Amino acid sequence: MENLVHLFYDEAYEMLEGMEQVLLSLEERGHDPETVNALFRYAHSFKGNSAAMGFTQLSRFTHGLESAMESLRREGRPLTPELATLLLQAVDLIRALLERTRTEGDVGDPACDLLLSQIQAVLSGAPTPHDSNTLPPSFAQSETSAERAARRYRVVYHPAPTLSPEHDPLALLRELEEYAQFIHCRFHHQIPPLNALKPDACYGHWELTVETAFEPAILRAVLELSAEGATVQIEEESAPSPTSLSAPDRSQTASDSDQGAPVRTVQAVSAPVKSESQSIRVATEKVDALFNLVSEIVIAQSMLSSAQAETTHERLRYAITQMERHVRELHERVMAIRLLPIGHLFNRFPRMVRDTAHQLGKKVNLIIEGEETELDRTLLELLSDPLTHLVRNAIDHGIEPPEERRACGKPETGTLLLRAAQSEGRIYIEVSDDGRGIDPERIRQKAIQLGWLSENEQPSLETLYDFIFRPGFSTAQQVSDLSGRGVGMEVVKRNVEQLGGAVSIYSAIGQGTRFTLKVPLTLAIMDGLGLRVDEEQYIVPLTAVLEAFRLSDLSRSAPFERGEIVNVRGRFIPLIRLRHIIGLPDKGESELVLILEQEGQQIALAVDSIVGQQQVVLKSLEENFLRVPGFAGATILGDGRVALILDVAELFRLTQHREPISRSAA
Amino acid sequence: MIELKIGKKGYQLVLEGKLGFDQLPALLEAAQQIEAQPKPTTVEWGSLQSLHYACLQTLIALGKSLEASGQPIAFKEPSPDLYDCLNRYGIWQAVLQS
Repeated sequence: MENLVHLFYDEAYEMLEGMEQVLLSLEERGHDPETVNALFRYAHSFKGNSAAMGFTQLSRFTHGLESAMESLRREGRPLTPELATLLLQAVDLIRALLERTRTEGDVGDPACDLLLSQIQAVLSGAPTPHDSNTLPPSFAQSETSAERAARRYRVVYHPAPTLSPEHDPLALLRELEEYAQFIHCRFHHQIPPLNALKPDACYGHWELTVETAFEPAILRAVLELSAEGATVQIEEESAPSPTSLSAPDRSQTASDSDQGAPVRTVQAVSAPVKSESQSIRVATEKVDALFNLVSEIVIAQSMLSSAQAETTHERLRYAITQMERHVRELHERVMAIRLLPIGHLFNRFPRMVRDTAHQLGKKVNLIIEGEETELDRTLLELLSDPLTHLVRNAIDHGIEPPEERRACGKPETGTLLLRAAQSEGRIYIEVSDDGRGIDPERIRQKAIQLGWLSENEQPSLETLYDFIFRPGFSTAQQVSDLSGRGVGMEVVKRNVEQLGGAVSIYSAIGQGTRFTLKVPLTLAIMDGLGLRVDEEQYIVPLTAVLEAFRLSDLSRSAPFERGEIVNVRGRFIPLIRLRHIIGLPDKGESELVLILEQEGQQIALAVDSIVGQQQVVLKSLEENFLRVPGFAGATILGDGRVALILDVAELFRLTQHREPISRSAA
Repeated sequence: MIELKIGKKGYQLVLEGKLGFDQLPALLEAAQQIEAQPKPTTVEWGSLQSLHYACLQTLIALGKSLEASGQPIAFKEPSPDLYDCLNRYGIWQAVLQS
């Protein structure tokens, strides 16, 4: 039962997200029958699932919404901004009720009735009853009593081959009766004796004659949507019923006498039979547990691989090599399970952008690109806050009000672009707008005001942009609930850096601003290069390593006080010595130099020797010990020893500022 | 609730409340117990409000098994709601024929 409850909530939130997206799409693109059908299906499924869970109030409210959506669908009317706002409010209300059901069970809210009455008033063209708390007449009653002639259909319903708690053909037939009056219903079965019975297999199917004012697609949706693999054939009988159908009357006796009328096929299309589902829903805890286990296997494999050199047993060596290959593939496949399209995160922004823009009286067109880009689920969750801040800031500070944009010769509607892409084992996420841009002088003045700069200081653009990320910095004139408190950008930078990522800014006054977030694909396992300094081994992420040289083969100099540089094929690259970072004296000229690259910048890292490439499991220092500046984490090596993993971003910062990194913890 | 009463002359299978899919294993176990030593069986379901289709199939399958063993099965009068449902969906006839 617990699993069922989890499944219900998972699906419910997905459906709400889907409804929200569909509503926004309809508002933007106008009436589209397919999209309206999708909206109807969401509401319908939500209603059914809620009822199955015993949440009758939720089910009743969504039934009202479903009816409103059916009215949209049937009459092909456009979704006006007023109606869109009400329906989006309804989605919010369902979300709030859903959350309350976790603790309060079958809970309702007086706001539901008020909202339904407002929606109904908009649909009927009557003034919106903003202050009425009276219970509106049921949507189902009003819509099904529309003066549309009921039609008679012959329905052949084959339930999905496998029965389950959620798939009960009797419950679906009961649901179908809400939309159609059963004239005749015949059950066919091949139920075997008990010893041959497969208890969860379905051995029966139904032939029905029904009358309804709803379209066949609705009947099909009721029977097919709840269970994959069900097939439904619907044929319209040519003799139309003279009566208009109100709520179906179940008390009417089923009769066989209406058969014999000529039949013409309306929709002979049936859903393809799928014997099994294409995907399964697995609790994230289970995936995480699996992933942790694989991480431990990677460590154990690493230990075996290091022991491989000590044995001459050929079969054992061969087996270890084979196992290494399989463990790597296992890791990659488990990793792939954890990867989710960033669309899961991006999809929450259309609603937020719409509401924020309305609130601020701005016009914003949100463009989303690369939503199929996949990244680790954990990263996705951690990126939510930074992206929310950036998007809100872009609308609040970046994009100008329509009149200001007009005056600048820009289109009234601003453009906000959310883009994701994967490159070189990293994910790049851009949030860009075509707004005012960031004024460096304004930042400088604010920094002076905050005492971070003296009046005469003229720092670089990069330094000025860095101020934006400092706690307490905000150039907003007014503090609003959207921005202006000077905490958002600090959160952006801190969260992204905690993920091992970086934030960069490009801005041009009057043209717009682009924030680029660069984060790793995953936080857990990575390919590293083992380095040695004295007896200790360190790991540097392989993605950062460009090439390696013997230090003695490179000409180097120290032209400035801020440190040495090496000449690599005519390129002058800052040199940093790992020995210095960890507080050891130079070893002489036998050191090797690795060229590391990040965001188009390069540094040279001098080490004693290279151990080799290996897959490492990243363990957090902060969780297990404490944060050590200069190191992103630690890993357990094949011989059981711990190796620190270098924080490449911090190495780059170190070369820029040339401040020694202390070995002691911050 | 599922209760199997075993008498000298036969079984009485008592079904009450709502039988969902979760109750299917218990019902199946009771049915298999009857099938293992077939005797005349009575299904009492006057207090049964609703049942999952999978449970219904199991009862019909039990009826077929007993029939094959030459033992009768009698479905007592169901609750009005249940009868209404079984009748409307054309299943009552199948139950009677099992």
